[in-house]
Amino acid sequence: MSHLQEEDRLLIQEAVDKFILDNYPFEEKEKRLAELGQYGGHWGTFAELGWLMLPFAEEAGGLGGGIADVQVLLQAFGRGLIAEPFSEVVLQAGKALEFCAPESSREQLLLPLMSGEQRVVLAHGEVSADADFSAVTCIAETCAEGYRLTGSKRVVCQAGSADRYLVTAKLNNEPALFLVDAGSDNLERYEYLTIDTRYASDLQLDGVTVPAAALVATGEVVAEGVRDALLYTFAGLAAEVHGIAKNLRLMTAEYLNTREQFGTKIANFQALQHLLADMVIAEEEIASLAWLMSNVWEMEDSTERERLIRSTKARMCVAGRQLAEIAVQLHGGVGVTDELIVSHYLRRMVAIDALYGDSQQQLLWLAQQV
Amino acid sequence: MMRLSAEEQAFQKQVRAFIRDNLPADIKYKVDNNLLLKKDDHVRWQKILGDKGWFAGGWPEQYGGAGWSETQQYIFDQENALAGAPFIIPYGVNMVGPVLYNFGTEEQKEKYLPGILSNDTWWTQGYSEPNAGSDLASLKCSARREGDEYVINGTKMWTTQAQYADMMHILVRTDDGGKKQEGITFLVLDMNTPGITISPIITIDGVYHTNQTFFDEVRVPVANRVGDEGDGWKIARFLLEHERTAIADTGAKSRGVAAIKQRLQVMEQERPGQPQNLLFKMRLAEIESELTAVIALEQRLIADWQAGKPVGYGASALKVRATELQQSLSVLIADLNGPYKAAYEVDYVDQGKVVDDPTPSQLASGGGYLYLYGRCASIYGGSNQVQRNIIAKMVLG
Repeated sequence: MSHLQEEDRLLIQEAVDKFILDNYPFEEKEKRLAELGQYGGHWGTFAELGWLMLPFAEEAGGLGGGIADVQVLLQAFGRGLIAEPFSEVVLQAGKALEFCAPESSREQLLLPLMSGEQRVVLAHGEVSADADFSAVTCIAETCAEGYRLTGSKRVVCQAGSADRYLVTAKLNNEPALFLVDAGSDNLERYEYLTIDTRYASDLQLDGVTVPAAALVATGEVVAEGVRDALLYTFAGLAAEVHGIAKNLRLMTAEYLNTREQFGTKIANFQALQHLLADMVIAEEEIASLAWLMSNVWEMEDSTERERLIRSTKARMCVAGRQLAEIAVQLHGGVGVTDELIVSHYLRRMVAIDALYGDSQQQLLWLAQQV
Repeated sequence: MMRLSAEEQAFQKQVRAFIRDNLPADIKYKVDNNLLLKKDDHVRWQKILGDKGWFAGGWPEQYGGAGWSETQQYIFDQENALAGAPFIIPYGVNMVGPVLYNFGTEEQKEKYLPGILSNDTWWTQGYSEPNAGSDLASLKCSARREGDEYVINGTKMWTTQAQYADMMHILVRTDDGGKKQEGITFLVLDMNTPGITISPIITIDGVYHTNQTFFDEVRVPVANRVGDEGDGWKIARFLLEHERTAIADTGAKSRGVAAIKQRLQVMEQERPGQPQNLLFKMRLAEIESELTAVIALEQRLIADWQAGKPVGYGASALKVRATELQQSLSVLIADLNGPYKAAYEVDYVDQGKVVDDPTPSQLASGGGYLYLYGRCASIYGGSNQVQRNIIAKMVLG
């Protein structure tokens, strides 16, 4: 739910709408991609507008916003296909730091992230990349300088834009979390494009040495904190999926009312009307899931919360992809061009699905609870 | 089930052995990894087939073909796809070739058929337009008669491989009055004719396959007209009916299923007993059963066709089911990549260089390409909604 005053939320809404209008015309995506390649982007603006502080507790120097407040941003980011690493840095890594770090160091760790001075991304996924900690095989050992990390981290989204990685590992068989400088020795990064024309990297840590102070936390709090940060991210992303779904539906309805074939507007064909109706039904589901997620974090029962979030991740990704596929289909030939934003929305949907457990993996998790 | 005669079985063995022994490894690599094939890959393979006399096997012998039956053609297509050979680019050999030997003059046959056979002339098609997609008959690109020439003005969409093409076969409007189907004429034209501009279209997969081509006062000799003025629609129907069965491309789907089986066996060895593996096996089983039905439908249509029976709405049913199956298959292949489903190295897909030890993100990129490009399948060749309209109209009258 929202933890902010109504007027503050409206200010965020206005600011993000203006930001997209001013900075994110879809037609300039080539230029933007080039900028992202150099990791420029608009991160400074994000910091100035206070967005990087939004979801963190006031005691930790944040604005104390809730998921509903973050969703205001994410819904707009979905609509505008904003490629800055907000969910990677602020939600995945930021919330993991907030949830895992002891109170004594929390603010100090979060400050450079919130000011925009340092970008941190979570490097948690391995061969199987669920939110759970059980799949982590990266090993940390103590050494004279502090710790030595060995292992590989897969599909670390936006790792190329990060100054530091928040690396999960096992230390004495206990979950542990480390902050590792991106430029560390013995750390190799292989970067590649993702299906949503962003970047991800695979990291290979071959005995990366970090000082003792790099250890953020250890113990069960790390396993729970990292899982919760990812669940929190999923809850926020429901709004991004909603932003995409809503815009696709609006664009598709407009297209059906414009495009003529067989001597009439194609909106007059019942077969196409029904496909549009299927999009609307999916959009309603997704809007409802985003709404459900907006106050899921306030639930007392964390088991039930996890069940709801994973159900949402699975359903919003299936419904979202179907909706986007219909949007492409109803746009016909132009729907499968790179020039129109429609195809890019579909591509973003696939990337969101793939993030830390696709819909099949989420369903499997749910099935195993039965 | 299609029963093969002893001769057909021998033919099948011969085809299988030939492709195994003659398919270049770098081309097979691209097909096996679901990477983009370039003109050079197609030409190289098609010339190898040409040297064997199997490139235009379905053409009558008098025009340089092998006079294959429908069944032989089917056997060849299946073996070609199963072995990981490139699909045959249809614009020359399967589209304009049969049009020329069925509707063309002797001069036209002599002039164009040899280049198609030798793969030295590369063809593209000019049918769809910005406002004439699935409603092809409303095309507007015009050709006005001036003496011995037609002067073409207008534009064509989805002129696939036009950037490589020497020739285009094109539907143009020569008459604005009367029924819209009646004013359409079929021409062939040299892509070097002045007034032609090719504008690339990058598709959803981030790759350059296709174009919009613009015509500004493009002068084509009347001798390049195939059939009479106004015959274009009849010829287009002849040609697209061929496309509708070819679109099923079941051999490639069988190859996809076999590849997934192999992949799942590896997954089972690496991480035995994972429940995820069983889920994938169930999804594969579902696809296999659907593919069984699609292949049966395809073979039944071919048998009917060979017996001279009308195939009716069967061709539309095949197009719908085959493309839906192609799409669910591509989703499964992508999903097998787990978190790497997000990876899409478009340069690797586009350039298709053989890599000895591909990274997981490279290995996954072919799945992304299949999924993205697969979205076109339910749109091209008459969208699946239009196919359903055709079926309903045939049944309801």
